[in-house]
Amino acid sequence: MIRVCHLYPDLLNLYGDRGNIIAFQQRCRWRDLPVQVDSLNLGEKVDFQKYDFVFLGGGSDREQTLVSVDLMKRRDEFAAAIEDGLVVLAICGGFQLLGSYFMSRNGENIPCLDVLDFYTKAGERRLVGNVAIEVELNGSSFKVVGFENHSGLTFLGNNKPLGRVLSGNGNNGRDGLEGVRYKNVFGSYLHGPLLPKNVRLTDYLIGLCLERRGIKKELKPLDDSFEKRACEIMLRRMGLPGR
Amino acid sequence: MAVRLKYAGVPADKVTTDENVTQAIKDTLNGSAGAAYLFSTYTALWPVQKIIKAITVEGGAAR
Repeated sequence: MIRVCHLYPDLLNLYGDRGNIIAFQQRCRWRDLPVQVDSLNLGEKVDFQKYDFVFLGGGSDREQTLVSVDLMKRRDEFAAAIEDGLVVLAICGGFQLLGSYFMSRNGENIPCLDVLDFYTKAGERRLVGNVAIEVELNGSSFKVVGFENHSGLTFLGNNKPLGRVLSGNGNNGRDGLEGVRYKNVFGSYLHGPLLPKNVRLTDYLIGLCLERRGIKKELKPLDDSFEKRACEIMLRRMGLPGR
Repeated sequence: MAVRLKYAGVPADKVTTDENVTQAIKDTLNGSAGAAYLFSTYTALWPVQKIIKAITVEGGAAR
């Protein structure tokens, strides 16, 4: 059984971020891999060690503040599970929360979970639009598409990016980097939602969950023609060649 | 939308796709079905609104 924890689904769900959970769940089911999704809401107890995959979506400033206060109380358990190989996907506001701090426009540093080495600062304008990035996993690279809408500018320290920007802004519109990767943690600004249109990444996450449980199994191939076509259409709109 | 429907559990063989959105909307309006429902993803929302507006300006009926 793959156990999934959806963190704060009522508060963090922008641009259909919940679709990431649906995609992960369905692609497990279609392969007869049992999967269970639990939701964690403010104030509820959680044991991160019992989960294989944790998902955090994006939210507005108000929701992010509420979540931040709650998640801070569980910071050490969450950080320990990450060090232990917990698979995490964090989008936009959820991604920002994993960093060291968020610097507001008036220069105030709002502490974040500080489980990854990056920080975010408030930008002057919103970075909005379609994004394509080149991602490398297991030595092979492929294109990932999504939609970004953020004013926070993220700057990585020692952690690697998820990918390199081919079109769009990415973390800050300057350094050509998008998202973050540390151990089995993946952070990204890409809504869309990210996983349904980028099934190679989805399957990679499923594979990591199985591997963490000591299960070495080739994932059964699925008919991904709709997903591939959707991805290719988005790439074409951005003036990029297909995969 | 085809991806969305697939992940909502709609069998793939029940879904047809058409990259020409204008033509797809016109064909649907001209179709024999009694009622048609138009759902749009966020990406397609504004382009679809423009198309429907244009069709309305054309005279209310699809041509």
